[in-house]
Amino acid sequence: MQNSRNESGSKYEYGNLYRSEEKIYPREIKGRFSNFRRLAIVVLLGLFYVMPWVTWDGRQAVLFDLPARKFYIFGLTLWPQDFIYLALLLIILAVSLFFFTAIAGRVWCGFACPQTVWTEAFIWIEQRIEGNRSQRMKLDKAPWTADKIFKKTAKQFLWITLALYTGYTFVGYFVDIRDLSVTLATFTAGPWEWFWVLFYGFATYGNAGFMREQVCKYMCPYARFQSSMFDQDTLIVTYDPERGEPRGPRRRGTEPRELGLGDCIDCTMCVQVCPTGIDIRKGLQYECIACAACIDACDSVMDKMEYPRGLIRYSTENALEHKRYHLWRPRTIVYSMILVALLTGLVSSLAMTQPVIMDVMRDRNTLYRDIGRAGIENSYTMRVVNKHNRDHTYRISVSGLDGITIRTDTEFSVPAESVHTLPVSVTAPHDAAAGGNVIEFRLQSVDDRSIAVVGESRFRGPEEN
Amino acid sequence: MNTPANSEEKPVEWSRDTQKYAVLSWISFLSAAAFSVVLFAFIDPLVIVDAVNVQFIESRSSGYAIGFFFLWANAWVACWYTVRLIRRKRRGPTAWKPEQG
Repeated sequence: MQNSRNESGSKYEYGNLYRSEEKIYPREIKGRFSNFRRLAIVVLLGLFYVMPWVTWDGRQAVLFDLPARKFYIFGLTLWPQDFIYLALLLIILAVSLFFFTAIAGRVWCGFACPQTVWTEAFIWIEQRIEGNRSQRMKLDKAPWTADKIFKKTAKQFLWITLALYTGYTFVGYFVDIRDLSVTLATFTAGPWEWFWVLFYGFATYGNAGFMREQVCKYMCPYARFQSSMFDQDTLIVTYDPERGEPRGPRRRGTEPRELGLGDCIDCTMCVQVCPTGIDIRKGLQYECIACAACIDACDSVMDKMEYPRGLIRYSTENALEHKRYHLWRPRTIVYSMILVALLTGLVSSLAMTQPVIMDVMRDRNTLYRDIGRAGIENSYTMRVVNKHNRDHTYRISVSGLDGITIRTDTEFSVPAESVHTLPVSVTAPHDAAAGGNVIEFRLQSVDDRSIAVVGESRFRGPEEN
Repeated sequence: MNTPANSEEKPVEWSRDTQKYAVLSWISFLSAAAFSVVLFAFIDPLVIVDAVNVQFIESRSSGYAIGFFFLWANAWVACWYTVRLIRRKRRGPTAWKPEQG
């Protein structure tokens, strides 16, 4: 299908763009930033794999229990009605991403993005088995000997195992991971659990083992718009052309200025270590994920040549042009103000939230019933959600009209974390009940006076004449 | 150490079609994920099952999964069709050209 499309048209427009895919063999590198990235990866992967096994109050600490429609995050239980908190949290995460991008560039991409983290883990496995960069390139060109078959099989086996384990852990955030382990091991898990384990495992394998930097280059929406958060004061990985140029090879110990050369010895180490295969010396490019591998590479070369470090370094455009650096500029001020406002909103609303929800729905079938001397009756359906982890007894009352009372039971108890639906009928005397009136229901816990919520509804009576 | 740059190593380029399908699949995946969160935060899939009596959705899990794939397919088709309609005009020998002169 692709071939026919290529021949039919676009080939003429773009010239021969259709190079067959060539694999990038990133060279492994040691240094400050790669140590930091390794640490970040160990911490993040550790959190991901360990978190479902942490317990809190006798249940899984972080569990987005989809089958039961309840989210547990440590001491907090979120119901579908609390969706607003989840939405707020996601917005806060997005704004903090903007904020950190404006200040420090693509730190997210280089150190914390799941794509980077799992790609690094997969590359680590590849290096343990197939060796370093030149060994891997040689192996790929070599004929299929027993050794090559063994190495490739071992790599694929470890990759697939890690991918499936990742899928299993991922599903473990949505159904109880202990149950899941048992049902998977005994082949009694439901079809959808199997499906999602395999689906997510396959996605991990495809993204981290196979597609890698292509995801960042072509598929990631953040990579495309992050440049709009950049300004002259954003930290970026840069090559200092003033110091490096003109580049050229030279013998160790020679004074570059005498040869008319800059500090760059053109060893291309920075290109060889780059996981996205770019040359940072050509300036900032959108493929750069700010992983700082080139900084480590260049620093090690500078050390060998006995030149000062930092020919390639984290810097800002302003710093390279010898201008002043501003941390607080309109962009960062606005981002941080939005962030503070959202955080305050989230924390205060979480602190003030009541562990009970009351919904009152007026019966739509009958407007009202005249029940003689007792007055006018309206019927409602009340739904009470006890979000607490213990049982509560509640009392309801009604106000808003003179002489309004509840005829049905006003006291009832609701077990922990469950929903109770009850019919409520309310009466009011004839003279007060004419037309449509707003009334207010109040729900109060009998055993804990601090738990109380109010809700409005309408009370209808005959029209006045 | 200090090996010369590998001349055979060139930057990797995906073909335009691969790029197109990768991007539209990924973007439609993300939007389907976001919209299923919003949808199922307000609607319990079992309520839909009760309302329209769809026999093949027997549990919440299958309701979520089918809902998600429905949204993904929907977004995928929309993205694919958009890409088809707004792609650039061909130039070159096979493209239509107005009469010269």
